[in-house]
Amino acid sequence: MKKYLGIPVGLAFFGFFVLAYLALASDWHRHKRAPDQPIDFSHKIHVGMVGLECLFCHETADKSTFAGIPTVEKCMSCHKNVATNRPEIQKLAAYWNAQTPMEWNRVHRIRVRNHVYFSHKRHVKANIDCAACHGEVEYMDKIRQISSLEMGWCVQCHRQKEAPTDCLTCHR
Amino acid sequence: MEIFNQYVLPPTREHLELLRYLMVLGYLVLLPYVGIVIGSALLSFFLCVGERDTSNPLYSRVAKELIDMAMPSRVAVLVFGILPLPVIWIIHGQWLIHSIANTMHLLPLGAVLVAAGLVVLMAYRHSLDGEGQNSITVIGTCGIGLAILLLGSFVLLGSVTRFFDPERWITTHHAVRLLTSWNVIWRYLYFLAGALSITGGAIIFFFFTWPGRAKRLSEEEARLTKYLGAGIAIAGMVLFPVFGFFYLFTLPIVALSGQLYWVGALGVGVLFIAFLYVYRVLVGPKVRFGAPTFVLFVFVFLLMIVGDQLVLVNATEEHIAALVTEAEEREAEIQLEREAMRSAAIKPDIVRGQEVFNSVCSTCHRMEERLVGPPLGSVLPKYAGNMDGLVSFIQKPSKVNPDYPPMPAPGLPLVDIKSVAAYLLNQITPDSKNAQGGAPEPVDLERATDEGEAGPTQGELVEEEREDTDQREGE
Ligand code: HEC
Ligand code: HEC
Ligand code: HEC
Ligand code: HEC
Ligand code: HEC
Ligand code: HEC
Repeated sequence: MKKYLGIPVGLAFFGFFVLAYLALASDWHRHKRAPDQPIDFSHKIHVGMVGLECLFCHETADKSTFAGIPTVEKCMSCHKNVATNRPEIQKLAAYWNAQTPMEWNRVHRIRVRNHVYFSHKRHVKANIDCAACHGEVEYMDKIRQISSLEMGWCVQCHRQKEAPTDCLTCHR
Repeated sequence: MEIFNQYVLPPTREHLELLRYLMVLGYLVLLPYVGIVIGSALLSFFLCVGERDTSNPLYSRVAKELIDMAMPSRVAVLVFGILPLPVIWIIHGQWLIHSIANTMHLLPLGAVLVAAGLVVLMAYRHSLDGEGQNSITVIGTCGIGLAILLLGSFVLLGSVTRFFDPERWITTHHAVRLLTSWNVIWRYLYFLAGALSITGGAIIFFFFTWPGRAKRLSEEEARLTKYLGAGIAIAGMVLFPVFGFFYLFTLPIVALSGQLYWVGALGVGVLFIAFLYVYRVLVGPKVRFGAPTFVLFVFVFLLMIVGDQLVLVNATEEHIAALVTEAEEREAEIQLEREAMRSAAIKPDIVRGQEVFNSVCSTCHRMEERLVGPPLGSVLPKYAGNMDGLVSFIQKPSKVNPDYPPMPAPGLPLVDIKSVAAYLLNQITPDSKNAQGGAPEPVDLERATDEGEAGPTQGELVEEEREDTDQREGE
């Protein structure tokens, strides 16, 4: 009988790790994946094909700490006329008609700002390309987080660009 | 890297697909083989040391058998261990062309070290044939070869793992700093665990079920190799899922996708089946099922390599999209050039142009009113006298007016495009051909269309639109 002891032990061991991998999968699905949005908005269409500037929609990126997400009104400035027959645009128009703001889900879900000071304005004013931190957005149908937003990442660039690396710059 | 950027064209999507299969194939040959060499050299090394201490000739016999198994001939080493190295280097170079991946410099270093390690171990293998097998030099050769191979495979796999983390392509330059990240270390340990287990699988397969080999073993040898093989396989199998877990856990966020975890979990599942076989070898009276055991371990490697592919594709998704776009643009340019050379010979035909307009363009355009596209009466004047401009717009429409969606390329043969262009220009400037495109005439006409006929139409149009939107807002 002792001979067969290895089988249940093996089953328990490998079974545990299958479950552990699936737990990682579920963590990814819930916390790290680019979330589903109320509307399938595509940066590839609007930046890549239509050729809009980031600041046209993310208006406050050079004025405030937040980059800002465009209002439905801004979308409707075009979509009153453009592609009105598409189902996604009809959804958009429904928000507009009901005058309810769109609830976009955050893509950068690791909120740096909870315990760290970060400002878009400083970086945009220092002529840092959005792509340095957000990647080549013009090729993304569904936008996703590109950078880790870890401290090492912030500090490495600060060191390279001779920006302040004092603890109090970011932790205040 | 600069070499690639200079001489290699951006790859198309099909080209990249092909490269992916080649890459999987290259790794599927290289990684299990290097794994087996590492595992066997490791066992061989310790057996040689053991024989020095105990002077038990059994150990040195098995030590030699093991390294013979891993390196049966020069050709085998060349084909499985050395040939895939440049292939992998070139494919990664194509994949990351135009990017500034700093680790591209490390990969060839790793490849050279792996090759050097294999060569030294080959020398060790030959020195076992002669006298004085347990001399310090022989053991030293084995140890040095093994160390070089371990270092080489670490640099190689580490630089490949670094491709999965584009964030550090730019920011990190120091080679040591590049390779001392937890993710790289876990990835390497993951591979080493796989290497141990596949070595065990190979021992069970080649020593016991490979035709003609099994009988050569004395009973003592058989017992020792059986325990060595099953033991090292189980050690590897126990470590494999642990290191794999930490590797997945430390991957950067860009590299992740749902499938990746499923592939990992499947690998653990397959490993469990392999475990059952190996366990049977350990406790059973006879060694059996060597071949399926070995194949299962190769399959685990395949899953590991497929996982790497997924990670690479995730991490470089936008980079690849940019490359493909570039290749498509280049192709379109060449196409246009070719057509332009031919176009001199093509004569536009206005009657045909009218047919084309009615069958293709009229779904979106009228002369005077707005449908999907703008009223042509109001946009054409700017093309008066510029037939080539109009032809090239229709061939490859670019974005003009943000109020409209972009116009899709109609995909017509050049004759049709030229004909429809001629027809349209003829509509706004009748007889411009007869007048031989006299310079002042188009200008006059342009003014006429702006202020004259077209003026009111445009005004109406705008008003119509307003009404339209008012209505919609009112609803
Ligand atoms: C047409 C308007 C528009 C333009 C132009 C535009 N964006 Fe956006 N962007 C949006 C909307 C709407 C969202 C929120 C929906 C989503 O996340 O997909 C968004 C989300 C984002 C996010 C994710 C924010 C989060 O939730 O964490 C980033 C980053 C971003 N945009 C960067 C850019 C960059 C960089 C550019 C310029 C290359 C750009 N955007 C251009 C409309 C736009
Ligand atoms: C120095 C790096 C950096 C640059 C440059 C940068 N961003 Fe960001 N961006 C971030 C970080 C970090 C966050 C996450 C902030 C948080 O978690 O609170 C973020 C978040 C966002 C968001 C989500 C909403 C918000 O404000 O938190 C949008 C939208 C965005 N960025 C757009 C842009 C655009 C557009 C540009 C270029 C004009 C840009 N970013 C340039 C680092 C950067
Ligand atoms: C400058 C004008 C402009 C603005 C502003 C704009 N869009 Fe668009 N949008 C377009 C154009 C042009 C298309 C391409 C339509 C096509 O595919 O032919 C498009 C396409 C789309 C589509 C895809 C429709 C489909 O199913 O094919 C969606 C969804 C969309 N836009 C949503 C939005 C949202 C949400 C906003 C506000 C954040 C927005 N757009 C702002 C011009 C604009
Ligand atoms: C791509 C390079 C880059 C990255 C990445 C980056 N920064 Fe910066 N940052 C800069 C530069 C350059 C400046 C200096 C701007 C100036 O001179 O005003 C700066 C300035 C700042 C400042 C203002 C400093 C002051 O003088 O008050 C803060 C705060 C800051 N960064 C926080 C962060 C945080 C937090 C992160 C990570 C989430 C980050 N940065 C990532 C380049 C970067
Ligand atoms: C350029 C901005 C920046 C500077 C300068 C900086 N930090 Fe941070 N720090 C961050 C960010 C961003 C995080 C959040 C990381 C996360 O959420 O994963 C962080 C997190 C931390 C944490 C929490 C643990 C962790 O790694 O998540 C500690 C502790 C910390 N910082 C200490 C320091 C100390 C000490 C200094 C001065 C030597 C310093 N930081 C300077 C940006 C900065
Ligand atoms: C699927 C609808 C569609 C079809 C079919 C179509 N077009 Fe268009 N066309 C458009 C749209 C939309 C625009 C506006 C594009 C813009 O402003 O970016 C346009 C714009 C144009 C313009 C104006 C370009 C400028 O510089 O302002 C011309 C000329 C034109 N089309 C000619 C044609 C001809 C000729 C055909 C037939 C071969 C054709 N189109 C077929 C949708 C279409």
